[in-house]
Amino acid sequence: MNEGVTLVLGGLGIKGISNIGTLQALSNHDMPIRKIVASGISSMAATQFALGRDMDSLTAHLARFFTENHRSLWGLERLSGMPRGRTRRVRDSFAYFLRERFFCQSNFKRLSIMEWETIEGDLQNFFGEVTPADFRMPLSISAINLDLGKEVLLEEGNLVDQLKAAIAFPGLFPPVKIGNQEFVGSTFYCELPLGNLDENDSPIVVIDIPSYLSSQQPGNVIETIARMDELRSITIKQKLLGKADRIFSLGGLSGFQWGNYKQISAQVGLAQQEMEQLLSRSDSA
Amino acid sequence: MRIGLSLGGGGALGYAHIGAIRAFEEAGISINVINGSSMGAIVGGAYALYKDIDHLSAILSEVTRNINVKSFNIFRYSEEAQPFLRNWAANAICDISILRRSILSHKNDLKALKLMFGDRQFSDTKIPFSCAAVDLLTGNIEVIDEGNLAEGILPSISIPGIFPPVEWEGRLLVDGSVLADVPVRELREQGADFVIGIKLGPKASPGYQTGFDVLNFIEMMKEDTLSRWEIEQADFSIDINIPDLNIMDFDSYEGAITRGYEITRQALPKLEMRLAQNHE
Repeated sequence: MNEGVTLVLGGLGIKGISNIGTLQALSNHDMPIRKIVASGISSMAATQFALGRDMDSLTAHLARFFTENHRSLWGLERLSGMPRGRTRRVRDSFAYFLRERFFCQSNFKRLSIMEWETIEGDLQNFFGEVTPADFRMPLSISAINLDLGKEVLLEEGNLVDQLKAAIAFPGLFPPVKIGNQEFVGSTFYCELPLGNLDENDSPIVVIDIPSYLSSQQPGNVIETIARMDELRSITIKQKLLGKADRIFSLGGLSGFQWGNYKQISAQVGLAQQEMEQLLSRSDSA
Repeated sequence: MRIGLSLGGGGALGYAHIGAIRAFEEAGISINVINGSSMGAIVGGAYALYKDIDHLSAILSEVTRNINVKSFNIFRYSEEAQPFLRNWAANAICDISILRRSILSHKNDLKALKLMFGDRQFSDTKIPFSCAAVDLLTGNIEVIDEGNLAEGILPSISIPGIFPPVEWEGRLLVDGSVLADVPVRELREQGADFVIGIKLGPKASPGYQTGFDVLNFIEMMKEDTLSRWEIEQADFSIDINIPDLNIMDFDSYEGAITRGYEITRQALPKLEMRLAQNHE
C-alpha cells in the first residue's frame, strides 16, 4: 500500500473552482496526499495547493478575472441553464445567445468563443515562474489529446500550457498545441480524471462534485443534445468511480450550474464547509 | 448453446452487418437470438424477420433507392455547397434548433421502416429479436421486444437532435447508441449463452475546423468508450472499421456490405475456435 493517497479533483466548468474550498478543508485534516490528479479549472486549485500557496488569493484572482471579462462570458450562465424559469426577457436572451452567438457564429464558423489572449497573461503572471522543484507533491493534469483521441495525463513541460489544455473547454477556448499535438480539457468527456489511474495509484480518494439530470423535458435540439451528452458523461463517471477507494461527494453544490461564474466565493465557501463536515464525520468514524 | 448476435449502430456503416451475417451463414453459424441499436436494430430486425440474407439485401437496397435517405444527412449542404449557401444552411439549422426538438421529423424514417417491416410484430420474427433505446429522462436503457416492429425500432434509431425522441409510456426514448451502442449485456439477459458483438467505426474523423467539430469529436469519444465497455462483455467481438466510408453516406451501401463480409470472414477462424471451446 502506498503512503498517502492519490487525490482526484474534477468538476464541470466553473464548478471545478469549488475545489479551492475542498483543498482548504483537507489541509486542516490529517490526510497525507502523495499525488494530485486534476482536470478542468480544478487544475488551477490543485496547482496552487501543490505549490503551498495561499488559496484565498486564487479565489480572489479568479473572481476578479470573471468580473473583468463578464462581457465575453455573459452567455456562459445562460448556456448552462441558469435562467430557466425566470422572466421571458431572460429566456429570449438565452435563445438569442444559443442561436446567434454560441451555436451559429462560434460552433459553425469559428473555433472558439474566446481567444487565449484574454487569459494567457493572467496565467503567466500567476503560474509563469513556477519550476518543478517548487511543487510539494506531484501533480498530473488531465486533458484530451485530440490527435490520439484519448484522455491523457500531462506531467512534464510548461505548466501554463498544461493549465491551458486543462481549461480549454471545447468551443469556449481553442485547442492548445503542446509539442506537435493538440489538447482540450477533459471535463466535457468525464467530470473526473480517473481514466488513466489504476491499482498502482491506490488508495484513490475522489472529490466528486456531482451533476444531476434536471427533471425538465428537453424542449429543443440543444437541450436534447445536451441531455444526451449529460447522460453519457454521468455513465462514464459512474463506471470510473469504481476505481476509487473513497469518494467525498459534495451534493450541496448541485444547485450551482457549470457556467455560474458570478458566485465563485460562495461556491468555494460552501465546498469548504461541506468538505469539513464530511471529513469530521469520517474522522470520528 | 444459444448464440446471440448484438449489432451496433453507425448510420450507413450499418450495411456492413449484412456482409457479416452472410459470412456467418456461409460458415454454418446459426444465430439464435439477435438485438441491436440504431442501424444495428434495423438490420437485426430485418434478418430476424426474414432469416434470408438475399431478401434482406434486396429490401434494404430498395428502401435506400426509394426513400430519400440523403435527407438524413443534414450537413450535406455544408459539405457540398459554396460558402454562401453553407452559411445560410447552417443558420437555418440553428433557427430550427431553437424551435423544435429535432431538425428532421420521423416522416422519412418511419416510411422506410414501414416499407421494410409492414405491420409485422416482434412476435412474427423467425429469430427472437429486440432493440435497445435510451430514456432521456432517466438514462435507463430500455429493451423493446413486443408490439409493432416498425414502431418498436423507431425509438432505437432516433438520433438525438436529428430525429425527435419518441414518447412511450411516460418515457422519452432516443437512439440506443447513446448509451448502449452494442447492447451485449441486454442480449445476455435475454438468454444468449454466447454473445457475438459487432461494433462499427469510425464514427468521427480526426481533424476539425470549428468548436462544433471538437465537441462532436469528444462526443464520439464518449460513445466509443461506452461501446468498448459494452463489447468487452461479449464472448467474441468483431470491430468493423471502414475509415473511407462516412456514416451519412447511404449511397455506398454495397461497399459497406463487402467490407463487413471481408472483415467477418477474416475473424471466422478465431470465432469458430471460441465456439468449439464453448461447446466442450
